[in-house]
Amino acid sequence: MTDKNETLPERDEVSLRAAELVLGLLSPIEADEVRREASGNHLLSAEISLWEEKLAGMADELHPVTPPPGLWMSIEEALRAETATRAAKQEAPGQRPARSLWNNIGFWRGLSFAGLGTAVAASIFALVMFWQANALLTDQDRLVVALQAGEEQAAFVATYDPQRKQIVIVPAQVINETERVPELWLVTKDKRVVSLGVIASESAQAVVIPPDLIEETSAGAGLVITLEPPGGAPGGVATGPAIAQGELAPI
Amino acid sequence: MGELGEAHIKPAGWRNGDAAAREHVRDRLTLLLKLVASGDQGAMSEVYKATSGRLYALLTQMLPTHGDADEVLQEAYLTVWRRAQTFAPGQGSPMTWLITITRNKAIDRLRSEKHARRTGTLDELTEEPVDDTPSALNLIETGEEHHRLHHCLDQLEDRQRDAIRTAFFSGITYQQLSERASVPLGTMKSWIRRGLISLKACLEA
Repeated sequence: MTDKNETLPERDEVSLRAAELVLGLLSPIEADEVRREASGNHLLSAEISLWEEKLAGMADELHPVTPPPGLWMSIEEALRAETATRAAKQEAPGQRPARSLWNNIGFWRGLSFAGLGTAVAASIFALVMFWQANALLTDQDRLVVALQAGEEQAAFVATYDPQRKQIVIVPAQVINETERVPELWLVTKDKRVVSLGVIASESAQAVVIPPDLIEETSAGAGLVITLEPPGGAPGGVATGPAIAQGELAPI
Repeated sequence: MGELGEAHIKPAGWRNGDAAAREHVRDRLTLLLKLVASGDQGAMSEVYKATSGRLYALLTQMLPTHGDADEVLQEAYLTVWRRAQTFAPGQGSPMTWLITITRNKAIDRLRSEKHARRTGTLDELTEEPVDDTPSALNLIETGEEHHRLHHCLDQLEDRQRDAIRTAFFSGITYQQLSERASVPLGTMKSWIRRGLISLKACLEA
């Protein structure tokens, strides 16, 4: 942003625009312009770094304020989930995330309960989950899905075993919820949403598919998990927020 | 200052500190960030312990509610986790890097949600309760440069200094600053730009 009423040496003008960006005085559009220009203008980009360094000193004036105690735990969980997803992606580049997650011990190892927090706890949890899940599955024609809340974090991993006509669902993250319970829903290709019942949030679980839904449980069908009152959604209609979703795909 | 009035601003005077200890804290943070870059969550926890008090203090100043401050603090540390490889110790101090990330996240939040402007005048926002207690600040790397910054800020005209400080601690735009101070936009720009030129001249002297 330039002040047309004042004539400044070029260097001062560049420096002022850098300081205005660093202080946050510019509108988002103006700030983007300065950032774009800085990517090809070494003087401007150096001035931005310089002002960042100089002005950060003002923050010294504040007394530290301790953040709420639970905040670090939330951050830690997010880091852990991100690390697990990153590891899964790196080890199986180009594959479907659901497939690579399922076969990737690094992914399982990255998971743990909040509160236990140690590598040992994470490993034990992962192994238990892995064994539990494997004991519940056969190998043929499985469909898998990583149920995610967003782009990065898998909250549950589900596998459909057509031989046993059951879905094995495994939590991949801790759910911070004491009052509501997770409920699993099947979204058919014609977009019907049918409850498959309440599921466990802390252990692997097999969900038997009712006979009338077996045909619907195929590649392309969706699974959604919502949070519902204990006992499940009243009247079989989802009431709570969807915390994870994904689409079944062949292994 | 509503809900967030408890985050006090310290006087701009310099506090006695041990240069070697500050150097140590800076080196430690730099090392921790290197470990974070390699995916070390334990190191991340140490970074959080060492810096979250300062970053949270800044956020409670900048954002209207504690809820906003909580969320933005989480976003900031997640960004630190993702971008730790890009921190280059040669280009600045680790604390500056963390403060910059945190302020930018807060500014994004203020702009994106068109947060209701906090009420308050320039005077209220820049009042300085007297407090000489050497606090946890001594654990954080600061240095001669920051001493110099405060010295140079003190040399500015009151209205220039107040406007720059309010901009730093609130993250609001020229337009909002001028409304808050009840002066024309051009006047506010002129105060800040002249103040910044003087500040720069003093810092480079």
